[in-house]
Amino acid sequence: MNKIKRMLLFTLVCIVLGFIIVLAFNSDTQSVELGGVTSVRKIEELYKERIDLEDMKSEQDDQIRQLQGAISQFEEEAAGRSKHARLINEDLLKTRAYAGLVALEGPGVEIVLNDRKRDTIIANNFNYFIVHDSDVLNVINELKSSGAEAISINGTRIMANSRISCGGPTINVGKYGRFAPPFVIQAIGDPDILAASFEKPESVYHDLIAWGLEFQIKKIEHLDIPRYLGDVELRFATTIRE
Amino acid sequence: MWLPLLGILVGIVLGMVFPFTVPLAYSSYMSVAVLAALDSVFGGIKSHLKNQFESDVFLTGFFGNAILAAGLTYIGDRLDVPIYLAAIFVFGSRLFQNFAVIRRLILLKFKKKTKVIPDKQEKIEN
Repeated sequence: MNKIKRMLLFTLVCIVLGFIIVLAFNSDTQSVELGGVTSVRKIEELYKERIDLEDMKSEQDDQIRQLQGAISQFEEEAAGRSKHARLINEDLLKTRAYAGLVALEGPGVEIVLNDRKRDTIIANNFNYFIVHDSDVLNVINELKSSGAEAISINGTRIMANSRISCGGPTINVGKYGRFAPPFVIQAIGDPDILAASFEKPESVYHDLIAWGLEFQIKKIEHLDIPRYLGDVELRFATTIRE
Repeated sequence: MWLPLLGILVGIVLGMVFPFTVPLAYSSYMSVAVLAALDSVFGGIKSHLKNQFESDVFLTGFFGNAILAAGLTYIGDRLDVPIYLAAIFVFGSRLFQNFAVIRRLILLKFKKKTKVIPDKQEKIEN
């Protein structure tokens, strides 16, 4: 009797042991290097918060798209009523496309900019071997100068007033974007002309290659460039009636 | 004899079926829990071999140790000081001690079976 009881107790504890061991193996224990005394839980909480915020943002982006769709439906309805209204609507669409408020498609080029590979970095001077905001800006400028009609960086549409500035290890793009390399720059335009502009002797391409940065350019038949998502309110400027 | 091994298998299957993974933040709790369970099992085997097994000591030891270790881990988490290392250290060293005792006892049993010289047995006992 006593022996059976003993075995049963052992069995019970062994069940718990097996259970816990499997749980321990299944837990999300990726090796993480953490500095200082920031507890893992705090980091996890912040990470969860970030994911929540990202979800919220994409939800709201969807909402913007939906509302935009509703607006364009109303506009089409209005345009259907008279020829004059239709002309105005076409004009409006063109202006929107130019401003970056409509998703566009067409032929163009895709440029991938990336830092120099780690194994070739000379000690302490890594600053020379990473993609800087100015490099991205130069590339964008060259694309614009050779007739790019719509440009996006990592899926963020570049507007007329989009900034490209240094954000420490990242690069700020536009109002909300904050990207780390690699930077995928897409531009709609004549693929041959866009690609040829980087062969000019004064092109930033030669500088980037000289520093050993990665610069890949591809001509693409069909590119989709998303619209700008965000507010476009004019707070200070008002139109002048001519 | 085979029941505890079966128990481990049952536990493993249960753990695999269990639809819940432990988040990274609780990995220190998991390590302490694994060690507490292992410690109890080894301690139990030791006292079983020594014929000193008492079920109430076994059970209270298992739950008490686990609760104390979890409490220490919790306090350490709040204070951002890894106090759970203390529990891991104690459990770990005791695990090895218990294992050494178990090893010796089993070897002794084995030798008792094979060698029949009585006075040598006495010597090994000490």
